[in-house]
Amino acid sequence: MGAIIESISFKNFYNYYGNYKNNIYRFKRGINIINADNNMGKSKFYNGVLWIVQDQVYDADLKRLRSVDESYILMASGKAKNEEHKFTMGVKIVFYEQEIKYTVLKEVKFQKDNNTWNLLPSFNLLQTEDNKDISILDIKEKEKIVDKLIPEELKRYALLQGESLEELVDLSSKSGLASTIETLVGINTLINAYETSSNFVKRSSKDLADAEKAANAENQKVLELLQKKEGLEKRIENAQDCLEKYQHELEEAENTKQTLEAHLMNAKKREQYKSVMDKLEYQINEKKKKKDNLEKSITTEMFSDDYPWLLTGMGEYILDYSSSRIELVKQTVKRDWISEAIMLPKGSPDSQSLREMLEEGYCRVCGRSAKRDSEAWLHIKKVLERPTSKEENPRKNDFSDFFSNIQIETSPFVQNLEKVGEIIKNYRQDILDLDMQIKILEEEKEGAELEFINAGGINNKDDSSDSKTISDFTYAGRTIDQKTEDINKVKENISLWEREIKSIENKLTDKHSDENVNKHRHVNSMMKQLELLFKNTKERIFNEIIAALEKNANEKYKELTYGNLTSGGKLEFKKQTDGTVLVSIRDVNNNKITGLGTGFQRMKQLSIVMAIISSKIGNKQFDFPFISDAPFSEFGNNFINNFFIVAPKVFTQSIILIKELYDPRTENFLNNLGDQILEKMKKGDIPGTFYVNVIKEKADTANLVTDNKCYKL
Amino acid sequence: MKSVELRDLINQKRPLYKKEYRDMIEAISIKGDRTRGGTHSTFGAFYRTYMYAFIIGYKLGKQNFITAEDKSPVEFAPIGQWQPVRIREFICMLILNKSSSFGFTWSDLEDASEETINVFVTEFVNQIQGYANAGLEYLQDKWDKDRFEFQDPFVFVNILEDLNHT
Amino acid sequence: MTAEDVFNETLKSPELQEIYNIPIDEIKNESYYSKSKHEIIEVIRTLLISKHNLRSNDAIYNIIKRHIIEF
Repeated sequence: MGAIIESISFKNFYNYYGNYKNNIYRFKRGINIINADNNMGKSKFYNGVLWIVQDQVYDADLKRLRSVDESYILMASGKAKNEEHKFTMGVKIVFYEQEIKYTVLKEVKFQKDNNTWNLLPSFNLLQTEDNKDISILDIKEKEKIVDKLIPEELKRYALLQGESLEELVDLSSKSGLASTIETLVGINTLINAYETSSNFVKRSSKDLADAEKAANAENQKVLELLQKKEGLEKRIENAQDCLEKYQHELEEAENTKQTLEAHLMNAKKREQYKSVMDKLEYQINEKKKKKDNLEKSITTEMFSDDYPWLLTGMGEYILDYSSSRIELVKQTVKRDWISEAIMLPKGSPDSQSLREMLEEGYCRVCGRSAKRDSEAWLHIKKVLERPTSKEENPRKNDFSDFFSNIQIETSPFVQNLEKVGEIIKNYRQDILDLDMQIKILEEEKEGAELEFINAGGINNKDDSSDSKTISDFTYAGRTIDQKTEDINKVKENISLWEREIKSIENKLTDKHSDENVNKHRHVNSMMKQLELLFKNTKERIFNEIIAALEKNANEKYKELTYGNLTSGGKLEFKKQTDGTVLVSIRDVNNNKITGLGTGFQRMKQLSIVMAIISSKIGNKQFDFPFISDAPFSEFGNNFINNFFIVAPKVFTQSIILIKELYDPRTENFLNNLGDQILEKMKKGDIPGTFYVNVIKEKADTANLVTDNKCYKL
Repeated sequence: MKSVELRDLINQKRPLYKKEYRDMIEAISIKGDRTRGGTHSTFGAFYRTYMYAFIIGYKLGKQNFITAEDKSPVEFAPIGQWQPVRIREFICMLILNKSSSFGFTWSDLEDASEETINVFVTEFVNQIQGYANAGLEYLQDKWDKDRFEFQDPFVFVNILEDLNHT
Repeated sequence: MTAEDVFNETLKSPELQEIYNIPIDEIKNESYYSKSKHEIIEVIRTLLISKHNLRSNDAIYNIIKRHIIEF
């Protein structure tokens, strides 16, 4: 029979201000729930148990256990420290074991001296049997009694701090495995027998060798054979040391590989998506640069030499100018011509003669026909109509170049400006196209980012950690291959040398039939048989335990994950070459499932713990209190519900500190699930007690005071 | 007077703009430029803004002349320094197209006295100013009321295209 | 596991039937508390009882050796 806790109480311990009677929790067999929100004393309660059982407390900031010696000041109630100069802090646990009642009291007296605290710790233990109280004074005796509450080898299973769940069950290292199996069956006796028999094999081998040497002191050939045999035995011994070393290295590599395997899937994915994201990022930047350049060049295009956007739609003005200029040229030419025509050569016809020529339609000067409106006739007319006075046609300025230069300069625009509209349109389209391309790439990048995040990308932005994971995994794989090869070689050698020894022994047997030697040979043979029998028995029990563990763990796993929408798969326990066990989760097609949420991973661990505990041969119930602080973060309501169904089948008494049933807005501080569970308890469907912690005094976190309400005793 | 002299007379002139447009001009010329961390598109050199404003005014068919009431109008760069040359010449061409509207025919210029030519040049520049300031007035209005439009890199093109359609 | 548990478990080894040819019925009748007529079983028993009685390894070795030789 194991221990049952009757009560746990506190005095000025963390949030638990005041005397023991103000801060007492009474417990029963079954599930004892303490429901509390954050900072309402759950972890402090747990620390109280840790103090009693192992003189440690859990530091949530450092995420590890600390010795109480370093932590007394932190452990003391803030209110007590602030309001009193002298007080006592303590934890009291009352438990029963084999019908004997034990009261364990660990306390520290605080006394303020100037501004420092003087501390005086004490450890008292009272044993009550048949109503008689006995104070236990011997410290070793006290420790032995505390050990009855939760034995040393079971502490790792009995005391569960939510965050440490992953470290709890370790079947993949020899020490973890040995510890687990020892916990389950107390296989020490068998191991001891095996080791003894191995020792006896060595001894009997030596005795045999000595007997053979003595019997063959004169026989050189026999002595040589014996020496050779000794040499081979030595080699085998050395090889076995080597083998152990390689196996250890192989085991380490297997551990690493297993640990990294889950990360790796995701690390590879992350690398892949990171690479995609980088590539897309580059492409997006290139496109954006291009777009930016185009946008920046708009004003340059506005003032382009050849196709200035500024002058879009203004080509017609050049034609106007051109017309005006032609007009000007005409006028200028006319005036010039006329100013030159004033000066006719001597002997030229006078005006009258010119009139007659026009009427006749005949030029008297060149003797040719000048029909009406012909070129010759018009020429004669012009001469007749020329200004007669030079002063009538003065040209002060010559701006022909001025006007013509403007025309020359702007003439390319005649055709070019027509095209500007189209150019602008295409330019806009180019930018729109780039926008579209950028948008598509950004959407792709977003998709890759999402995949990256789904593969744990948020916490793994660091390139190097993923690359390191991959390279560590690859290295572990290579190490496994190498060590497996090395191990095989060594085993081959050992096998070869054993055969050689056998052959030598046969020769020796043939060589003589010394009675003494025969006896020793027989003893040696028997010892070897004995060793083999114990070894095989150990293997068999080990395999049976692992098979039972696997079966049991899967039953628990199934019960715990029952009703969950996502299938959590099933647990596979695979024996490794070095005798350790790898536990993985497989789906219905026997494919390994990785990347399951933390909830499922914790469920796996919890299933194995429960299986270990309930697999104890000859004792189906865990006979020691199971105390767990916040095992349910990452669990949904379904898991929690299932746990309360499964746990009573495994633990005679459990104390569960939980926040998932808490709702500060309701009158009883319970949410729906909490109400359901309380109801089941009241009906008797779930045996145990139900407490809710409340904050008695609202204050800053240093001065919180917790009180408890008992809903079910 | 020869062409070269007329050219010089014009090139030396520094058209003016009204002081009230100064901030807006600065903003859309260089200061607010996105490449310098600003928020909108810009022209670069101030005279480009002036040329742009001129085109707006010309398209609107509006002129906003500098008068005696305009206190401290601001000078731009001399016309001769405006780039690109082709666009500068185009602007000159536009004014010359309308020279008769401000009292000068081209053939008149051929016969004009130096004094008259100077008057012509003054009026020539005045015309430029008129259109430019009308354009600046239009831009100022847009700047005040529709500032967001200036975040579009195509804002200056959009304005021109809108004017083409009206 | 007690020493008796180890004895019973070891007797389940198939080698006892396969190599030592001890019939299964006889194996079932063996007891931790009584001497066996089968050498190997007696050696197993002797070792376990001696370990349980906290005899030293030297002593256990000599006892077993004597038993084997006597057998």
